[in-house]
Amino acid sequence: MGRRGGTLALGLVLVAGGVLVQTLDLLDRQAGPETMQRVPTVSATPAPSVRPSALTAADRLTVSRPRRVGGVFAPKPPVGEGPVVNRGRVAHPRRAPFVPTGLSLATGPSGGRAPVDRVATLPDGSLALPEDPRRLGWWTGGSAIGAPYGSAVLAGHLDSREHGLGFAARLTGLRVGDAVVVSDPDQALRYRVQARYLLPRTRLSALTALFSDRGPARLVMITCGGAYDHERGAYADNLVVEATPVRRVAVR
Amino acid sequence: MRMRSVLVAGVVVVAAASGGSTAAVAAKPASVYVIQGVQGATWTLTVDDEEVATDAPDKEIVGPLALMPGSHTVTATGPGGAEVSADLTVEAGASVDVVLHRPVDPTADPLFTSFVNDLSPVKAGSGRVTVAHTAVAPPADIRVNGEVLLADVASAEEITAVVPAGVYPIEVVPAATDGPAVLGPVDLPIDGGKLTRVFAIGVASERTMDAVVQVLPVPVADATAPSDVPAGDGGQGAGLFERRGAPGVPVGLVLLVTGVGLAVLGLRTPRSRG
Repeated sequence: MGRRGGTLALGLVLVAGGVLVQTLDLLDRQAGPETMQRVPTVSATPAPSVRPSALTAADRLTVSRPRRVGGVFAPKPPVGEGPVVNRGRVAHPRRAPFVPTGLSLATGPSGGRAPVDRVATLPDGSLALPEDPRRLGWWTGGSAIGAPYGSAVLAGHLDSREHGLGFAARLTGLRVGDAVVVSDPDQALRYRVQARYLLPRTRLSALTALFSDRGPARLVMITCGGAYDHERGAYADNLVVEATPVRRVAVR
Repeated sequence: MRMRSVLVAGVVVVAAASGGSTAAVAAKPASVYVIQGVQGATWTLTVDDEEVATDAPDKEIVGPLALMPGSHTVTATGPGGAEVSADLTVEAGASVDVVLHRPVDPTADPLFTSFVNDLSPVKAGSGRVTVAHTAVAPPADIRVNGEVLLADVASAEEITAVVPAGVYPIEVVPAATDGPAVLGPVDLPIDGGKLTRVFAIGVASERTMDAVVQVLPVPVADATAPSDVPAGDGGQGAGLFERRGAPGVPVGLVLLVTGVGLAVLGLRTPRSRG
């Protein structure tokens, strides 16, 4: 009885364990970065929402040609008493497109916040990311956060020989539907993750929509991923996470 | 004109002679545009004591006027001898539009409102567009193809966006409504490397809304897209992209098969005992 029951019980435990491990493995494969699709879904070149042209002059607003007046007008002593020219105001300055200074991910294992610097493309074509992998870079050639059209591009080091894992390693934990908040000291915009995929680094420039100022407003986050070549000290792929704006949120 | 130069030179000499700051000498003048935004009437525009436009019709723009930093006077004389006059203070090197327009209250006199032009660089292929509300109309949204591009701009306010160059079919609707449009749909061309300024004028309730459009060049910044994003050279993150467990060995499956095997063995054992 004891030996028989023991074997049966052990068998059932192993079956249960096997089912559990297999299920976890399947889930992991579905969600894990290594099985992410390698072809982008949402970044197929979106048509700009502008018409190319070819319309009658009557439909079109005409540009006024200013009439030039020469000479230099010297200032006069301020009168102080009379009426002054009304100063035009900027409507909703807190809703204007902005240059980001920070990115936050929702709380949890992949949560946290990283400061964001302005970064540009180097003459050799590579993006000059911040050396410090705790920081991210906003590509100055891209759209501002909250701009009506185009890609706002944020990128950061997955890891670095000197400093270890970077903030961008947390991007690997993002799933479709997760929230990302991009902010400056005065305002913040919440995005929702729409797609994520691995892309061979050599194909990055072929996907022009990633860096385009046309099409719907979107956030494109880029780091490295895929197979690591220890000899070259480089990754084969880029991990790309695309997100769409949801709404303005209060600055934390 | 020559007289004015002499006058400026005289001021400069006085400033230098009196040992005052030489900053005034080096200061750049502001570039000021005066815009006649009152529909259906002609107005004579005067800056300081110089008449810069005689009987200017609506949509006329005069400028750029080189106004030295400091205080100036703008005056408009219109129908029936009506006169509007106000002090304008400008900063060195600024680009400023001064619009003569009607306020939201249609019975009140026209007034001057100034807007500072944002001439900061845009990236190649992009243009900056600013819409200023100088009409007798409620707060408005500016829509493109039915979507709000610029939301909720009220009288004497302006709103700005940087957009790809192109021709935009714009429509001005009362803020947060689906219309009917008080202006448009009408095509607005936005050129790359330019600031396009749109001043909405007219009276919405009388269906006389129109727009004055002014275009100013802005510097173009390089925006070459990166061809590579080298974002990792340590290898510490490589594990994040590797499957858990030994590659090719489905641990769960092995456990499952072994477990089923043992369970079957356990069930079959009694017979051998008998």
